[in-house]
Amino acid sequence: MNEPPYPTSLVLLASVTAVGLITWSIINPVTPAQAAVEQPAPAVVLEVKTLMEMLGPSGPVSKTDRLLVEAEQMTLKRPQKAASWIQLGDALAQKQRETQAPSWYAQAEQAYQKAWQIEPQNTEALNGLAWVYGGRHDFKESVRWAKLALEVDPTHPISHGIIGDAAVELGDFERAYESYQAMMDARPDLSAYSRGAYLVWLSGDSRKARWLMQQAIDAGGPHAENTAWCHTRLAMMLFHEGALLPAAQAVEKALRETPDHAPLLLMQGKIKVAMDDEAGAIAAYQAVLTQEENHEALVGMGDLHLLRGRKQEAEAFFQRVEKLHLSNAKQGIHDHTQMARFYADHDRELEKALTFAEEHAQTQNVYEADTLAWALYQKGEFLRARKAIEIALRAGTPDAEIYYHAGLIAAAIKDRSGAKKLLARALSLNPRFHPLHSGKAVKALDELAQPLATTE
Amino acid sequence: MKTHSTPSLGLLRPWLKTRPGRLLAVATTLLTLGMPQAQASSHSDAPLIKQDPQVNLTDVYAFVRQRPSGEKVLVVEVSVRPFSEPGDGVIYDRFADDALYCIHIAHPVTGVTIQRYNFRFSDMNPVKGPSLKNPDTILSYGRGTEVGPILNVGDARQNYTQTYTISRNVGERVTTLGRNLMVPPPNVGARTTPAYNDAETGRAISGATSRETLDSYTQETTYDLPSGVTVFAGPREDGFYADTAGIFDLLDSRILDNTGSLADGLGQDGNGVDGFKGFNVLHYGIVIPLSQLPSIAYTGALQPAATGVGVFASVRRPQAILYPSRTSSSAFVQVNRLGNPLFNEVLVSLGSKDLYNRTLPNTDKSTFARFAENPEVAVLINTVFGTGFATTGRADLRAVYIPDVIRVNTTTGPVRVAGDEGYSRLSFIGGDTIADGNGNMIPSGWPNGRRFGDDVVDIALTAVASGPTFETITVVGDNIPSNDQVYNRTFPYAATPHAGTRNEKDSMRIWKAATD
Repeated sequence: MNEPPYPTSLVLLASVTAVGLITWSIINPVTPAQAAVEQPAPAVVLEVKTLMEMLGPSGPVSKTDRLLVEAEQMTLKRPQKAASWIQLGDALAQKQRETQAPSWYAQAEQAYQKAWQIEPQNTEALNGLAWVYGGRHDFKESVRWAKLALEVDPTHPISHGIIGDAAVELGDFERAYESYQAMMDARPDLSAYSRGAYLVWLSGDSRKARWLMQQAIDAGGPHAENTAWCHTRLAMMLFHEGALLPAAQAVEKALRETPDHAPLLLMQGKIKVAMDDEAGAIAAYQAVLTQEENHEALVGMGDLHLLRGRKQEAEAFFQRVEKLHLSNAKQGIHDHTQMARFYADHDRELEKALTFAEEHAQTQNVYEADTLAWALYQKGEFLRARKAIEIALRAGTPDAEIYYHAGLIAAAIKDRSGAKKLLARALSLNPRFHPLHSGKAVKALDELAQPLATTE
Repeated sequence: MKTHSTPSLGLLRPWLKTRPGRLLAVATTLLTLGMPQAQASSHSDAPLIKQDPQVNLTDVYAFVRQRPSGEKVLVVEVSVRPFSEPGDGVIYDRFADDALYCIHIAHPVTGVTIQRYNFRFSDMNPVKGPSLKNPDTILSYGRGTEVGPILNVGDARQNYTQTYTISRNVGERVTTLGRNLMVPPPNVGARTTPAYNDAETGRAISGATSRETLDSYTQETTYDLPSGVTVFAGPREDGFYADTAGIFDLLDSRILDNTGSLADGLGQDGNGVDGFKGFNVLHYGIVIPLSQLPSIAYTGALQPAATGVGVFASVRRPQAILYPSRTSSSAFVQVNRLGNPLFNEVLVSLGSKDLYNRTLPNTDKSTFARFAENPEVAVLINTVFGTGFATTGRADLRAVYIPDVIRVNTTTGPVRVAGDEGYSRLSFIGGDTIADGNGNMIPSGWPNGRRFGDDVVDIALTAVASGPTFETITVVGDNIPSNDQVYNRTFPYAATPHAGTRNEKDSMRIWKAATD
């Protein structure tokens, strides 16, 4: 059998991580962990002991853990081989993806650095480093490393993919299309399909996006988790289309393969809430929370309680959200856009919401712009909100929440017919887009249906 | 002069004037797949009706609602004359005066008509009164015996006013329910028909939640008749939406020929374009108290044993007797009919399309059941996508389409309409269900009745892909999730017609209305 020109695992890893980032930012407008800002770690070789410590008391339990230990042992046996370090970097990267814990970035970075020092022209090392920086949202560095890889191999799909990922995050769709197309031309596989699917979806073509995502699922990846991501995103697209039954079916099927996959469970919670299945939603969110504190699960639980009028229980969850945020901040992880959205959605700490959202005042990213607009609206800054929401609407992303925000903003600046259409559009896309806000959208639409002015 | 052509319109141009029914494009594309290109255009859906726009039915809506008094009613509305350009309304938005526009209440199992409501309209092109006040002007609206904006329907400034008579047939018995009912004027524009439009933007306002909040023209021409029914006939916005161009794209040969390089599938401008955006239709509708309707047991699609009625629409023209020796006839001959969306357009094959329009639903079982049970469209989708959708034995589609009447379960409460909390354009697929008389949850929208905004393209294609078991629901559809105008939430539910001068051929772009 012919060896592929580059290890499949890295391609997939890089892709699914990017996919993960993006998906995360959809399910949850902002990436929680990936935006980590970390201290440079000491340049020591990982000891097996340290690794075992990092894996926790249960030791290597998953397939990825075992790969990790194997790779680590390989670096001890053949420390002069770049390939050993790359194998380790890839395993660490997959670990990061599965746990979403930012500490693995530093480990992976070290491994790739090592490989790069041994072989400065090694594209996998270069792309590995590009991936690490991209994960930390340091897009300038990320693109720089990816371009170094392209100097060695101008058609390397991963380098194009990573450059595309940065472009997507920065809202530069033209560049993203170019890069993802180059990736697709070089190697159509799970990573290329799923990236393309997301970009196409962001650009408003839900049908083609779903088709591409199905291609990604059919193509498959080496880790069950890779495909689970794609299932999550497919369900996300269906959810945003208001196709609740098919979305639920998609999630359920995928959960049979990967029952603990947090993003799938979060998606399931969201769908169950929309389908008025309170018990099902709680089960899904709790399943995530038994693994770890999770922003989206906590907010989901809180909203569910709020929806049923249980304010105190809701508040307890919202306080856990704030606690999680503080503890993340201590570790240097800034989840500011996510928090801005949380505050704006719940009409609390609006000052903070705006401060956080304004960190991306110049953004072209759909979700950052949407969050900024929403925070501005909640603060009563309607004209600035309008400017921001125009950026969020520009691509035609079929997400009801964006149209809902836009509708309220339009109403606030007295564009009644615009407001009606935008709200109707939101409700048409997915009438149950948000546990707390879809009802408000209906109400706002009702209020806009005033008697017509007759001619004088 | 403001022109309305946009790139999207250009794509529609070849069949713009000849659209014989919903999704002609789909039908044509699907059905001509693999045929030489040159033949494609002549293989149109129901070729005869396309030459006859005034009697070309496009959509039937039927659903259960409740009057403010609490009385439960069946709402039936019918669209006719597709692609009415708002700017053309001044001259062409008129019902044919030689045709009989009908709404049938039928047996849900046999398809036999039980009650028929007939709309007969007055002179289309009069040269003198009473429909025309002033023959010495070029204006039909804005100058009659006075010049200025129309304040009330039929006032001195509305030169031409079409009127109609409505009657009901039950068996042989014919009852006239109303006479000299007025058709409101088309939406000429802010200067002539101000009540339709936003004073600031000059665009049509819609989305009324009650009779009182409707524009005054529509209010004045919504008639509560002594028999207990409410009627309306007049211009409306076309409530149907679909990305016909996108559906063309779905079956594009570039996708067909895909050899594994997805270079084909990417980088295209894939955003959905609503091919019906900015167009109006003519519309006739009726609200009938459930107490005046039969209640018949049937087996509905995706629901347990049901009770209700079947609904379809037809248009008839007078029969002419050619033999000199015979006396003239008062009989009418059916030239078009329509029940469920997409049946004649997508499922019935070319050779039978005109036959469909000449026949009644009571013969569907013998003539057309095979098209529903063995949907060629599934074969074609399978060919294109390599999917494995069931192509034979489709009892689910048969339950929806045979006989081709829209079955409405009348044991439910009033269904949600677009804009109501919990309404989903995807009906049951989007979790929008309603309890029937026995407490079973059944679809709120099509295929249980059909509401404005029901995304029948997505529902139908999804059903084709997911049935007969629906164990895995595969969503297939276009990229158009909403209509270009907000529907009313009161009768007539169809939205206010677009203004001739300012309409919605522009995109969803917000602020446009404010800044244009």
